[in-house]
Amino acid sequence: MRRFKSTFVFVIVLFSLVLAACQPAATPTAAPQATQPPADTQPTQPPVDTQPTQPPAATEPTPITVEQPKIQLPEVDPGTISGDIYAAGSSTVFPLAEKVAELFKADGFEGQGNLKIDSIGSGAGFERFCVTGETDIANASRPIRDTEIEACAAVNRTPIEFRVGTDALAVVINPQNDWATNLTIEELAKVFSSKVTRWNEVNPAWPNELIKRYSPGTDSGTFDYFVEAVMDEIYGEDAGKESILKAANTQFSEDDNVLIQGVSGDQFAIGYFGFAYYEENKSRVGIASVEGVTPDFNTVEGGEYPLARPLFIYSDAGVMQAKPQVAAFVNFFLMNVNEVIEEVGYFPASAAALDGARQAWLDAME
Amino acid sequence: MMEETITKKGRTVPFNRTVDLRRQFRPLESLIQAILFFCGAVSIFTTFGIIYELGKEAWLFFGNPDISLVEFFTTTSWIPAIGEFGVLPLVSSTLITSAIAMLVALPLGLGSAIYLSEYASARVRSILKPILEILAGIPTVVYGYFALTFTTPVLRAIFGDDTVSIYNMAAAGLTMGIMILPLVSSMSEDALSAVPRALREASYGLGATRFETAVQIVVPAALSGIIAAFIVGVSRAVGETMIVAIAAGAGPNFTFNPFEAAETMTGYIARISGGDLGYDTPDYNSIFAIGLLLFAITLTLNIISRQVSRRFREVYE
Repeated sequence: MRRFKSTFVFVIVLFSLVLAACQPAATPTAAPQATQPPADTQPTQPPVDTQPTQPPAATEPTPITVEQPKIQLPEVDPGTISGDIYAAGSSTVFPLAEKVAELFKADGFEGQGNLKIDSIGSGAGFERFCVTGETDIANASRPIRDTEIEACAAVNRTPIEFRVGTDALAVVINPQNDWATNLTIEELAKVFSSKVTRWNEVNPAWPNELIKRYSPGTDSGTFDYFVEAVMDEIYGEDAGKESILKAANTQFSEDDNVLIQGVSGDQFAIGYFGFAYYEENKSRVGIASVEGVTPDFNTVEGGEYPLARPLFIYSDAGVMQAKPQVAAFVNFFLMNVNEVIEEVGYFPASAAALDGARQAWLDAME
Repeated sequence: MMEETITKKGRTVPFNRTVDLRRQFRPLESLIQAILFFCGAVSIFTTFGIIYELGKEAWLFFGNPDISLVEFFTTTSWIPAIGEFGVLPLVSSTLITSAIAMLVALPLGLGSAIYLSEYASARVRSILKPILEILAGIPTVVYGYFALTFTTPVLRAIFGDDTVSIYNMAAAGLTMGIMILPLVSSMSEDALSAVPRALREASYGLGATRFETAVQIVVPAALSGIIAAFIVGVSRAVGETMIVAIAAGAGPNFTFNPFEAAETMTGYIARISGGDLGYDTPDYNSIFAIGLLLFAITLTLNIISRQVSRRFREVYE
């Protein structure tokens, strides 16, 4: 009987494994059926609208013929540096700073001190840098505000801005979506606002279907940036934020996978998040151009793509002179950031911007 | 105590001391007692600690002049970022997912319990019960992805993509029902097995069939245990987090359509705890207010379950 029992259990397990193995095969065959556009949406395809969405420049493979910055900083050997370095701020800059820190450690900075980077948001980063003065470096995905500079002055710090790169927002749509492949900022704001619930309310040529919206959660800098650059731009300050928060059928999630899953699973879905996540999931979601511009190195750097934001690190001349390890890390950051920036999914800063940052370092160390 | 003599090593010795074993000092025994008491006390103090912490932070939340209890319990819009705190959308989706889960778990669980206790032979039961219990051992995060990648596509294939959102309460509820099934089934089966054999034999003796005996004699006799199983299942469903966080949606939505996405209380707490919210902001404190409400709901359910099993218990022998 015991034998019978164990055989039975074995057969059950085997059976479930076979079922599990069949599962992935079954899904793709079902998926295309499920996502096929209903027949009635066919006539609503606006053939005219889709044309200007592909500017010839954007479709070319991005040539990374990056002009190299000219200014060279004195070479740093992380192996000879000692002392603690503490940076805090933007969660967007965080992965980039982490990568640079990894390089810094790989080049020899190991036991001589702590290198700590906190991801707490740009605003909180400035607070620690300017108000409490406990950090050496503030990471930020927006330029410092005047009030923050004043706060810094109170603790005898003068923030110096170092541009390290650029992040772009990607507006993503379902691959089956053939109407909203290009949006103006105004249309984009409308799509995410509480003023409409259906696509055809934004543009009569679009399908009469509910808009399923996917947005990063309210804690994220990405959400703040989108509200500032898109919603507030059209509806005015605060009204824009309220409008996106009250919009029906909106899913907010800090987990970008939730957004990807949602947009890829529904033909009438739209979402936005950092370009890096789009790059990783190109096969599952499509990207919409904004004002006729698709984000790539050239359009982001040239400032044509409207939803791009600069990434910075900030420090202070006094701190950098008093703590050579901080000056060395900033130096290392500016000299090596372009080696890792694309890996993280951001765009390199222009040669001029990076040269400006390096010049600022030289000026601070005089 | 009487004077006695006892025989020791062949000699008779006088034994006239009164001995009270309870008073005897046994250091090891009291140490063990202390350790066991400590074990019990840890869980009790943890419970008190949790209640204290929940209450303290929830107090901060309701102490905020912009937030009133009335608004909290009666308005239907939960958008903490712009100061709208109406908890109803979160409560309604919690109730809907739990109701769907119980619609699955109760009939299936009770059916399998009746089969296992009344019909199955000892051999079949010894095989089926462990398999059913495997279900209880699956981590809930796995159920969550099962809901998202299996239940949802099945629902969408049946009802159409336009009707069923990619994140929806129905898929989460159905999967949660499967998760709770072993709990309901094993508790009900215990209750059914506890019904004395004499009752069944009397029923057979009166000419009842097996089915009549099961449904009309054994189930009513075990009703208190079955109701208790049901209520424990409900409180498990109300408190379940991973499945709803993954499959039910990530945005409060006041709706009674199970095919729409709506965030539950637990799902909201899980999502908000994941972000970098500032300490002592209303958003942050709100998760404790919701936690307290959740705690109150499950505590009430547990108390009801105890009362029910006491009141409806049929005592035999």
